[in-house]
Amino acid sequence: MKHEPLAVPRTLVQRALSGHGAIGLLAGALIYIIALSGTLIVVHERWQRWEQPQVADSGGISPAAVQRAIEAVVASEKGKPRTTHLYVHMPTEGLPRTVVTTDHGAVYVDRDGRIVAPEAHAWTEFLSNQHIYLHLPMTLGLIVVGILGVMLAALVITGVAAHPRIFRDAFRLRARGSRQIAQADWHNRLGVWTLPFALALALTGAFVGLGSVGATLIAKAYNGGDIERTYGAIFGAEAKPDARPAPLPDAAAALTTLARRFPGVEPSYVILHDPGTQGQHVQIIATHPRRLIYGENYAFDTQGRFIGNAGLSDGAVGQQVAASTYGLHFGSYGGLAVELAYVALGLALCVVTGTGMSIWLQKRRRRGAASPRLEAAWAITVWGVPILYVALLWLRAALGAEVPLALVFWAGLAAAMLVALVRPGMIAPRRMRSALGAMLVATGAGHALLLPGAVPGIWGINLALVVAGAVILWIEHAPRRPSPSAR
Amino acid sequence: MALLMEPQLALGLLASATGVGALRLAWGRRRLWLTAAGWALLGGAAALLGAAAGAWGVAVAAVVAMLAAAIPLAHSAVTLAPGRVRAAGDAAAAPGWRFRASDFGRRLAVFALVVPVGFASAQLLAFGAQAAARRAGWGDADTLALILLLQPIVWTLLAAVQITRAGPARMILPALIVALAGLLLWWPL
Repeated sequence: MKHEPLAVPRTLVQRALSGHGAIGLLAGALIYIIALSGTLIVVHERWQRWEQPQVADSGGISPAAVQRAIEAVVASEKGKPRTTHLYVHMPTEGLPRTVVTTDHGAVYVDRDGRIVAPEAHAWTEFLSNQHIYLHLPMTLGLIVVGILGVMLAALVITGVAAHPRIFRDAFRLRARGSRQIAQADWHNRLGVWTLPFALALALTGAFVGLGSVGATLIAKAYNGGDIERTYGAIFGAEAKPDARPAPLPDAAAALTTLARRFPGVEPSYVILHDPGTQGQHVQIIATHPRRLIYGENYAFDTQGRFIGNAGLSDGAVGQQVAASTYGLHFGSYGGLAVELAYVALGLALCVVTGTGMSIWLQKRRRRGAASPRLEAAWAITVWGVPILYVALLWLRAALGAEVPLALVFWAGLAAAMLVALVRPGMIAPRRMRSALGAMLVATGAGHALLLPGAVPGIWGINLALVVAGAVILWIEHAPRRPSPSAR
Repeated sequence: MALLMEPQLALGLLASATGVGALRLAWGRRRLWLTAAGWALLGGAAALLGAAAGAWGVAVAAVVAMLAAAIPLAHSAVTLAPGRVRAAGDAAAAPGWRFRASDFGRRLAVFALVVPVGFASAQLLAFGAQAAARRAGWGDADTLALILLLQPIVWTLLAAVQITRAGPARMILPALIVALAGLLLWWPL
């Protein structure tokens, strides 16, 4: 086969297309994995509830019951090192359960504050950690994901520059006929219509991911290297620690004070810093309706007296903007409606990412430079990753929450990639799509049959899984007319 | 549902969705006034919702507009004639990527200039900008937010500019300009 020398594209459009392809080739697979896991964890609280359907919802919980829950959890950890933080997740629309988390684990409590079950949402946690850290050590993972956010944003910009007709053709979607044209149209149409979403997500993700680098620089330049003090300018500072023992703080009084002073806000987390010490204090994160901010941090003393708020809702512009990036990124600012919108837009982003590389591979094939190994590896990425997600779910259901899902995922993906590179003929995308469809239907139906009597929120996920699987199977197996290119 | 009970919000959401509809109607018909009306509706929706509910309103307007586009796209997918692959022109326009040993150095240089060098240049500019803002009297929260937000934005733009240059040598200058701007902001002349 004759190989042409690497040509340097001459026009801006050609150079943009070339650059677009280069970034896609460099980062496409990881961007796809982050996009897919991110799409799923938009509704992470609902997945958590679905993953442990046997735990009864606590619903609303009184401040006194929260206090009892805190005391019960601290008492249950007698003999262990004192936890540095204690978090109470207050019931929300997505997860109407109260969860108390310490350095030693997390438990669900009922509406009276009694411990009912350990939190064991390993699969949901696996997805969240994949999206946020790619299962790397925390700071490194955040930075890598942040870099990929910038690469995605650069892909968006070069994509627009590479397609001068992209806005003019905004409604031209030829989904039938030639597979190559259909994929190009899906890529460009979804790409242009989700452009604000992709840019917002990429840049807010980069903000979250790369934040540690900028904050470290600021800390070194102005705060003697103190990162906590640096971040304190935005999120509020922690009190000075004092390890001498003290009775637990009155979180119930803090919740009551919050409800009285700020009736329009909804507490999402009660956080005890250094509980059981003289240096302890209570912080409540409360959501504000119709705000992009993830919430406001309200500080209380041990008696539950209000000390002040950090200013995320009404402080400096920088505080409000920083707090808003989280809501904007995770789609947590409008209840189920916005979450579903984010899932739909996230799936569109997955299609854009998935088709982008496929188009590039098809063009290579048409130029007589087919890369069967790369094609097989890309099929593993696009279809193998969701198959692995479902397989891990089954593994978690069969063997429990202790299974090291991240290890199994990356080992499984590496093995599949190896097969793709060594024996590309063994990778059959069509069979993979059929398998994924069948697995999704089986998961939804199996969950409904094996764990009956669940609440509507859980049934909704089962239904969505069955429908998604059925749609994939239908697309794959529906009789179709021969395409013009096939004729 | 509760949102729809509030006239200003309901009107904004409606304008957002109908703006996309107007653009679809104008598409392919060369009706400039309809195109202008579509964009005016989208802009008006963002302004209306922004006035009613700030950044939250603008975000909701954007989400509704993006979702509304799914309807004409679905219609297009069902009704448009199947696409035919052009003989060779499209393929010829494809980037000429070949995995050859001789290209390795070039690719490595591109990677180094766009990723670590681009990152560092953008970081320098963001740091310089916050230093300038600090001198201008901005508080700690605002300067911290500035550096955190500016770095990825600058890096994105820089990467887009670099990657569209004709070769690695031409990718150095944009990074240099950005880094130099950061230094100048940090140490004003």
